[in-house]
Amino acid sequence: MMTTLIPITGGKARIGGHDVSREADAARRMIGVIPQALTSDLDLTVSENMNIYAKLYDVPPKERKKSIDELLELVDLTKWRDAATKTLSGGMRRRLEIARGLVHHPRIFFLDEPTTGLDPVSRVAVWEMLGNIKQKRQLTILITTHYMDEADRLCDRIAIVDHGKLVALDTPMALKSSVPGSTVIEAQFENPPADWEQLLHALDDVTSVQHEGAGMYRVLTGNGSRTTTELVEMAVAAKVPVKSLTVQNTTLDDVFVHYTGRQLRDELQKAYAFVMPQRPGLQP
Amino acid sequence: MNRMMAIVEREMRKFFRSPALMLASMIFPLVQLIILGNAFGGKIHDARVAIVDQDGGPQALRIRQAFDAVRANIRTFVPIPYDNERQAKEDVHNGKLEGAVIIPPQYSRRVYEQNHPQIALVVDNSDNFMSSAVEAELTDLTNSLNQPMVSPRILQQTALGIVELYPYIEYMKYLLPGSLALAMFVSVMIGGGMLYIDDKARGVHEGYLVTPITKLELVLGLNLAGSIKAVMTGIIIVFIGSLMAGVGRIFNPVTIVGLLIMIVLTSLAFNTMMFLLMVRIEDPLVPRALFGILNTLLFFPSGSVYPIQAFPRWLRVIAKCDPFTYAVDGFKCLLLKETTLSAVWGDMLFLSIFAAVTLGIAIPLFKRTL
Repeated sequence: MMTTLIPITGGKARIGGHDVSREADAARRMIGVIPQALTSDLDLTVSENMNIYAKLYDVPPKERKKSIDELLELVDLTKWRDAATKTLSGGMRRRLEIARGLVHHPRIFFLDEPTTGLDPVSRVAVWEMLGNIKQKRQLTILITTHYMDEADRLCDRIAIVDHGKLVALDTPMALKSSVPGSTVIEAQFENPPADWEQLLHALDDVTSVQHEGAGMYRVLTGNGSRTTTELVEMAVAAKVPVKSLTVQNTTLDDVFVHYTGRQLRDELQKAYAFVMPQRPGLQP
Repeated sequence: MNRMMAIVEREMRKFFRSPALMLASMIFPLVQLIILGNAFGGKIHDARVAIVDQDGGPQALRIRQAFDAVRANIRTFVPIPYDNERQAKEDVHNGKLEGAVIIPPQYSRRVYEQNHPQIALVVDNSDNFMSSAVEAELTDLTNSLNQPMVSPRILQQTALGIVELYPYIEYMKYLLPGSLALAMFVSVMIGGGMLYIDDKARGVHEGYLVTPITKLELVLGLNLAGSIKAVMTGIIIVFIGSLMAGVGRIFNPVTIVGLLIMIVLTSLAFNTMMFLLMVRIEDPLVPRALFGILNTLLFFPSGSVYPIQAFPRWLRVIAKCDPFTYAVDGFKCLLLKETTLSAVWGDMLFLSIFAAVTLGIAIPLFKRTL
């Protein structure tokens, strides 16, 4: 709705002071949008792709070349400017799309799943580039993502939306602090007794226990070292072998689970089902 | 205007970078022109016809001589003597022969006695075209045998003199206007239909929709690009096709102007029609599935391969609404009948109105949102 792609069903939305419903074109000039799918023309060169979009945004001919040169430099594609887009890797194509979305100097930049489908090296490259853009341009960047590490690394503020409802909005640090228990212990036991979950909950400083099946328990605690020691001692005393044990600080994954009550992997599976092309041949 | 031209520029650059697409839209109609143009419209030659002479008399000899004359001249049949009637019929049945003529015993005697002499023709009527040709040729042959030896002093029969307005038109030339229209239709189908839906499915349109381009600019840009591709196809095919079919008229300046106008209007009419059909379609398989149906529904009723006058009433109604009909008629007038522009203004008017109406319906149907 904010990108004007879907009609507003209720209420009002303003971008840069422009009503998204009534002054859609003015709102569109304020924003840059990079959709999730890679939509650059594979048969066109990098600069041709940029040029077409500069024309669609009415960038004056004199500014066009300068803006394209600057952006290609920013995304490290200058030496590929005359290369056909089909010869670029997925990460390079994503960088081209990011440059394309900035060709008209928007004030707000929407990125939909910017690193979905990229290899780890390309992901890091895109993250670094976005950090770079954020520093060099007066730009608000709005990213939708299911990768919590991506949100943690890139975002100043994070909104968690569950079934269309905003359930949390704050800085990554504040969101992590809002979750009871600062440490997560994931432990797998062999044949634990039926009341094992209650026994774990009774340990000192434990705020919540979640049984995830197959003897795996996820324990949130305010004191990681103390709870870990007590947990191991209790298992030895009860003669319940510990198969695996990991201790980590609260992550945004825990924040998400805390606020939505569902596992992030379910969300990811849903997201991938949406992302995966129905007819793979048509995807670039 | 600049934004509309950006859409056109993008489409044209993409089109020129995909030579396979350009070839695909041109090769099919050219192949059709060559194959159908040479396959149809020719005369039957060397049909194998058995002669079973059970009479052996002088009148039977006249018939055999007439067959030999046909063999030596127009070569419609190759007469093959048979002794056995049953064997001859069996060979017609098995496809070894196209027909068999049976001259019964006592034939010559019946001729002299004027006692209803008859000869029999056995044909394989599973091939209607061949059997009709053999029948027609044998009817002519029988009529000439029936002519009196001495001509009457006053000719009583009325002769029909046929005046053909145009020089003899070979079937390949007859097909050329249809092939030209078909080439533009295929170009529109690929360049305006399939690519449009594929771009939609790939999310390219989503990229357009977040820019300040207006609905009108986007629709006009897409239609203009599709029409330019069809115009280029039309110009290439009219030139190559005319050279192949031996139509020299394309070098006449008036014809060139007329052809250019017709090509532009036909491209616009076809492209706006295709855009209207595709405007709400999302699935890339639909235009592919529609291709065959549209081809049959629009091309064949247009009079491209068979005259509209031979159609039943309901098919004539389709032909009347079909832009193909007017495109084919206009091209036929300019290429084969060598008429001036005044003869095709009706076709041009229909194509213009058709393009305006289909575009007028498509614009409000086009969604500016997802």
